[in-house]
Formats: sequence, C-alpha cells, structure tokens
Amino acid sequence: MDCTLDQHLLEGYLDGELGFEGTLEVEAHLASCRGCASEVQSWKDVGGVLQRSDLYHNAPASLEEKIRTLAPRQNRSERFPWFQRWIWAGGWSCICDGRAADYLSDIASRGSFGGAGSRNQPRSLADAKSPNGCYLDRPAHGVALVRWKA
Amino acid sequence: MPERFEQVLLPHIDAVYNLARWLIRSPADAEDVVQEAYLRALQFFDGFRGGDSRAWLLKIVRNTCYSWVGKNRPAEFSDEFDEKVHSGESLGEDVEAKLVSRAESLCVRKALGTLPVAFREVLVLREIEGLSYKEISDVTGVPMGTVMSSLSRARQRLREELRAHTGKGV
Repeated sequence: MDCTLDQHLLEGYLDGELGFEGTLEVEAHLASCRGCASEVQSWKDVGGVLQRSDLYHNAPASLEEKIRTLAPRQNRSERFPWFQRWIWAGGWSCICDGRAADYLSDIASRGSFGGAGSRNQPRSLADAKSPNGCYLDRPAHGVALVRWKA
Repeated sequence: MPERFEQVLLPHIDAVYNLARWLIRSPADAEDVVQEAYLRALQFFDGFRGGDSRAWLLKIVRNTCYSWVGKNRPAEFSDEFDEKVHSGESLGEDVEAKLVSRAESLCVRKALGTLPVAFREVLVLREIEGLSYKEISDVTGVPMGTVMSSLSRARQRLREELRAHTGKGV
C-alpha cells in the first residue's frame, strides 16, 4: 500500500469511531485509493467471518443459579434484620447490666447515696453489709440484686 | 441490596462468561472465575455509583481472569507478539477471498485461541461484545490510543493466524 493514510484511521472507520467528518474524510480517500479500499474490504470480510462463526459463549443456566445464591449468602443479616437487632440489644443489655451492678454495689458499700467515699469500699460480699441492713447479692452470672437483711 | 444486585449485574452474565471463557479457555475454570468475580462485585457493590454496569463488571472479571492466568498459567503473559515473525504484509485479494470462503467456525475459534491473552481480550471485547474504544479503555484501564494500537495488532495477528490455518487446509 503506497498511500500514507494512518492504518488506525481505516480501523476507526470500520469500527464507526471516527465521527461524521472523519468518516467523510476516509470515504473520500477510499474513493480514490484502491489499496486502502481493498484493505477495508478484506477487514470487512474478516469481520464477517468473525460474526458468522458463532464465537459467543453463553453462560450455562446452572452458573446463573449459583450466582443468584451468592447474594443472599453474603447478606444474611439483611434478610434477618431481627437477628442483627437482637445481637445489638444483647450487647447493650450486658453493658447496662454491668454498669447497674457496679452502681448498686457502690450504693450498698456506702450505705447511702451521699455516704462514705469509694476509698473505703468493701473487698468481699460479707463486708458489703451496709449500716441500713442491705447487702449485695451478686451471683456469678445474672443480675445483681440488693437484698435487705430480715 | 440482593435484589438490586441481581437486577443490575446478573443480566450481564453472558458477557462476563464469554470474556472469561476466551481468556481462560476452560469451561470449568471460567465458571469458577466468574463466580469469584461476582463475589468481588458483591463486596464492592456499595461503591458502585451507577453508570455503565457492564463495563464495571467486565473490568472486575478481566482483573480476576488476569489474576487466575498469572497464578495458573504465567507463561501466557510471556507470549508476546513477535514483529519479526509476523511481518504484517498485506494479503492478496485472491487469498482473502479464499480465506473467507474456507474459514469455518472451528478454524476461527482455533485462530483466536492461539493469540496472546491481551490480543484475545481486545478482540473479544470489540468484535464479539461490540464495545466501543472508550468502553474498552475503561475496562482494560489503558488509554484509547493504546486500545487502538492493540486492536490493530491483534487484528493483524488474527489475520495471519487465519491465513496460516487456511494454508494448512483447515
């Protein structure tokens, strides 16, 4: 091919990427250049072969089913929002329970809201008896209770 | 999100699988790679802000395929185009006509399958998927000028391969 036209222009023309002016420019060139016209025709033939050759691989139906199952598996918490809410509620409950137990323990050790400071807090349950007769009944797990000695 | 995920990304499963099949060249492995790609897409779906979902998904699949090829068939990346072997000389009209008349589906598949993975990729995206240069640029992450030159070289190489196959009487 003797002409100096950029090969990319011919391919851009074939692919419809040149726009209106570029297309007109190449078409004008093809009308006068037998070599480029032949080249374009040969590329069209190869493109036609590709189109006729049934090169497309369609996805098997089983694959689509497998992928459909991916989304719910990844988003179980969204399918069961109540489950997520219970986890949060349980977590907050534990935190509040611990804080309440500490607070009640502090009250029990001081005997009143405005009693002695925390420096004299009892070390054991026996020491936790307060002057007004209440003591802290705090089992290994569960809610701590303040009981009044009969 | 699952419903939106299915609506937006599942319609492109054929395009995704087609690209994976041509890059991986094994049905079973392509299925695995497609599943992995969809999992990745699901992980990053919150970051998808609309736009061309096919290009977005093809980009993920393409990267997943390249990771798979790099891990399982690293030699494929070294199969670069040899300018000396493939001179790119123009074919005569009679040879082209012979090519067109004799090339069959199997021959074309074989020729396309022998190309380096980068050439296969750009040809599949353009000739089979019908993506524009801009879309190919988005999927592959290279400038449009590079897409054009890659496509040109890939076509030249494909034509050489087709000629070689028809020359052998395929």
